[in-house]
Amino acid sequence: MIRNTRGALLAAAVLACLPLSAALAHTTLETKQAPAASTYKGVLRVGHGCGASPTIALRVQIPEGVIAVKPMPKPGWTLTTKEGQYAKAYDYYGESLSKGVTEIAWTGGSLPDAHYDEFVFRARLPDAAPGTVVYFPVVQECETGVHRWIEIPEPGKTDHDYKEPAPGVTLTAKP
Amino acid sequence: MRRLVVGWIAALMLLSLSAPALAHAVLVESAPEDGARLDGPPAEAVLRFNEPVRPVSVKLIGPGGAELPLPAASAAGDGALRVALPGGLAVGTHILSYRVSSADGHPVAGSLLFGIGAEPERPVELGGETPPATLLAAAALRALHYGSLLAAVGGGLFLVLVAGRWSPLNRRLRPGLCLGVGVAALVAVLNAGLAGAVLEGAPLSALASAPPWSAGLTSTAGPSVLLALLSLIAAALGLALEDRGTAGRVLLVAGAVGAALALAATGHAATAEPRWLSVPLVALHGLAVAFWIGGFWPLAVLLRTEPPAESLRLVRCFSGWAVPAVAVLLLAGAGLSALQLADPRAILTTAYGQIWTAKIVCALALLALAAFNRWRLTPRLEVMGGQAAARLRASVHTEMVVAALVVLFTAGLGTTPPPRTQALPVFAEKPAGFSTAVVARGRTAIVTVTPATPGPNRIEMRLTGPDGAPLDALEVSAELALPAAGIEGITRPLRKVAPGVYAADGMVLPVAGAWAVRLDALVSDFEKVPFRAAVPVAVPVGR
Repeated sequence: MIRNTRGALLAAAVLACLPLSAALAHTTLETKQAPAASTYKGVLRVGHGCGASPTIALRVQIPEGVIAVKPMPKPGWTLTTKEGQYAKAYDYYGESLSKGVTEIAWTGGSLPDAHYDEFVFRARLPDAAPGTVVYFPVVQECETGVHRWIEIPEPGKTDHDYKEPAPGVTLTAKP
Repeated sequence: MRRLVVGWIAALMLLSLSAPALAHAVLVESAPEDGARLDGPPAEAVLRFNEPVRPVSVKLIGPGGAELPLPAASAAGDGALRVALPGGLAVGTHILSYRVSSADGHPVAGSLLFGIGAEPERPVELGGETPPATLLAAAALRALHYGSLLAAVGGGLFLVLVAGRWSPLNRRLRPGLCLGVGVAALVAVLNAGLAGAVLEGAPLSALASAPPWSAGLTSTAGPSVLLALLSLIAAALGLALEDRGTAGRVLLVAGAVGAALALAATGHAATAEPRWLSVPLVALHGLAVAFWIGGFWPLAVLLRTEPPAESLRLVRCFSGWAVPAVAVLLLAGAGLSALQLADPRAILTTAYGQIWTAKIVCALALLALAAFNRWRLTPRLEVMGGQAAARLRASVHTEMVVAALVVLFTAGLGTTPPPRTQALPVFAEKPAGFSTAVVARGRTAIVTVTPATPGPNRIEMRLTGPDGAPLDALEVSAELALPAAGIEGITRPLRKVAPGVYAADGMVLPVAGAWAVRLDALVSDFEKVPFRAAVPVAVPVGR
């Protein structure tokens, strides 16, 4: 009996120390559905910094199958891209693309935690089955701290099961 | 001729010294670990010992209790034993039972349990113990082997050192000594078979088949028996040529030295570190013992057949050699005891120490008898003649009985693990805990929670990449939750303790239950791999 009481107290203490909920604004994509093999305007919405610390860099990894990526420059931020080989060549309006942008980075700016901003790129989505989710892992760097929006749900799980889910777009049928 | 003999002896010495210089083998780690729950059938099992081992038998018993065919296990020089497992293993508990022989010729046996797709269930009793009849017969035969080998070659030494050349006594002793050599050879061969039966854990009836013999001959008992047989052949040739000149006498001495080296080629007395010390000590100890116990029967014979004056001369001569021989014997024995016992307290606390004490008590009694013979009975030969000879002969017979006891206890020491091996830190028992292997996104994590009881726990993760090599992560964190009790994730970072190994100590799991553990490994800037495992946390029995 004594042990049970102690166990309950310990459990209560643990519960009290836990953060209330992870219902905070994530970094997400504005448009969460788009037709397969379509040209997509990705708008990354950054709602907060890392705690109170301002955001100073946002980096996006382009997944395999997403091609012809063009980021939108942003005043006050330095735009850089990394290019790399695709796993295979993709057809883009009759042109064969075998390499392209694999990572976009906006750096050098400062977005206070109190403000909101958007970071934009344009890309051609993969020609995959409807229902496929294409994830764009994002690393949000702040003056102090970092948020890694890179968690890709395991089978049977959804974004809501994770603290820092990767922004994703669900493919619909081709028009 | 002499140069040839010296060369032969040197070669034998090298042979006995070049054997691997290690003690009892101990299983250090294994993959899969004992008690592991695996998601899929493993391709192979790896058993890592603290020293090189030779596989004797490896068996795999499937969920139905049926033995599954296995290819031969391959042993690497570094102590790892790899067993390729057959494909398509069924879901359920598997038992990998192994028997290996270590460098000192002793068997080491054990079993690993693992479950494929299920928690392994520990069966009530596992076979694999050596039948007691086999152990008893092996110990008795080992005693007979020591006794007959040393007495046979020691008789040869008596001819060379005491009886002298062309003595009529030699002709009387020769048939008996020849018989002794023959018996010793037979016992030596049988000893190899029984040593193999102990290694295999086979019953005595298995001696009718080949496996125990090949197991015995391929362990370190094999070279030892071979050397013993060579020595006995040398002794037999020496007996035949003894009255023709020097060659016979050299062969007799070579036989005695060879027999002593044969004893130094196996057993844990000769594998104690440092080997450069223990091997010569065993050989010297054996040689001195050979001279001593080899002299008993010739002395008993000459006291009956020779006239008192001749008896007195021969006994005095034997006694003259016996003093330095006993000194060597005691010094070598003391040195070996120090190496084996390691700690004086082991004399009282271990079975080895108790057998050792019994041996020392008998050896001291033997010494007292010998001293009594030398200083009391031998001088009486001069004045009392035949009557004193009969007394002395009776005393020699008593010495034989006591010496047989000493040899018996020595054989007992040979089959009991010495305290030095038990002092090895690798014998420390692994703390109980829970371990499981989780595969996620091509990476494998072996997650271990110890002791897996309510209270502080250590969480460890061994991360390997798709190629099986340790994988370093940028960050690793653990989240533990007990949804059934409404306990949400407790998150803690794991620090790196070795390449691919991450751990956190003192993680408090407040209550018992099936805890959900999630380990997140940030394997690259943009990739986080989650490993999930259900960890049963239970209050230990008896608390």
